Amino acid sequence: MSNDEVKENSGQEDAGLIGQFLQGNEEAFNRLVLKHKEKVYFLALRVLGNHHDAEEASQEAFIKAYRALKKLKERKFFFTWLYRITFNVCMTRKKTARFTEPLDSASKLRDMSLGQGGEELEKEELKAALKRMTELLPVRQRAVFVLRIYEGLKFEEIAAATGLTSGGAKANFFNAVQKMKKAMRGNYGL
Amino acid sequence: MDCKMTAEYIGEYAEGCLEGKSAKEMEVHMASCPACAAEMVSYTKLIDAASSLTVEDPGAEFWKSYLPKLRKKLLIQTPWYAFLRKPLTASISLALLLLILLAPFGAGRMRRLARVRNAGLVTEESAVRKASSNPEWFAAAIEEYQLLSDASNVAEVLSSEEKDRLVAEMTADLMD
Repeated sequence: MSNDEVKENSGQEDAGLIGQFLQGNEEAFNRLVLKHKEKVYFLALRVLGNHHDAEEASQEAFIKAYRALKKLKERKFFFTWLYRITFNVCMTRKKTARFTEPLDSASKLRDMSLGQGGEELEKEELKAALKRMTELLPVRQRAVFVLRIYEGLKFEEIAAATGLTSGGAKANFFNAVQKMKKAMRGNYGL
Repeated sequence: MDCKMTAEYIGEYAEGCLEGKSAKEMEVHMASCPACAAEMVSYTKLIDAASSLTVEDPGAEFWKSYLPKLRKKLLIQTPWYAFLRKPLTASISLALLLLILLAPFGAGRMRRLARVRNAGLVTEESAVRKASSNPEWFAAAIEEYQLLSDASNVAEVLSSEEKDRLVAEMTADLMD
């Protein structure tokens, strides 16, 4: 079964559960939560960077979904819609966080890279550096990067999940990669 | 395609977003330009490294308590009238409300009907006692009794006083 077919089947299953939920079956919503909780949590974790915020954000996303499910027109695209809610919750949390990272973190990225003195680091160190750099990206770019790299979404799907255009999603993604590449140039064999 | 354009579109090329002529031109340029080819390798390496980054799973206990915690939050944050938003619970609530509002009227009607029924039974017992001695009277009495025992008809056509009067007359006839 292809990836698209899997998504299609999953979407049909979601649509069925939503139908049952809207007829008063609360258990159907529980099944939706159990099915999607991990993806929603890990998306929030990768965007927000810590467990506590990720738990809060993912649960807030489900609560918003619970209340707005009757407004969802394309039920088989529930998951994309849920991603969008999660994305918006994460954006809001980042904006209102007490200690917000500056939106332009390029200089921080450069500083981090310069500190390495051009040495070849081991693979694990490269990963650690990448993780820190991902966390320093502006939240929108980070979310697009996460959706593309870790969730494997197409740019059209990212656009639907974030409210950006497909071109906007591409631009955010490539800008994120460019920033990281620029910061790491000359190090880690890049 | 030159190096400047390649740098601009290298991400899209690596991601497979470029198609047709543009992809072909990029491919040709890469083959003849070591700097751009190296840039492509670097891009791929960064994406591969990023893809292999994992995050810590919070563990089985966390996942086990995830839904109960969510349900608790939903309960706390849900207003008391939220059940009216769902068609099924809203219909049941409306039906119950109507039942409560109309109950006094229904109870009064039930009491009136019960009185008529009781009156009919008294008449029937009397009628049975007298039936064997006067068959013609019995047939007429039964006809009257049918009217009385059909509570809904009686309730529709007779007032309470009329019913009482009719029962009294029938009883008197039966006793004669």
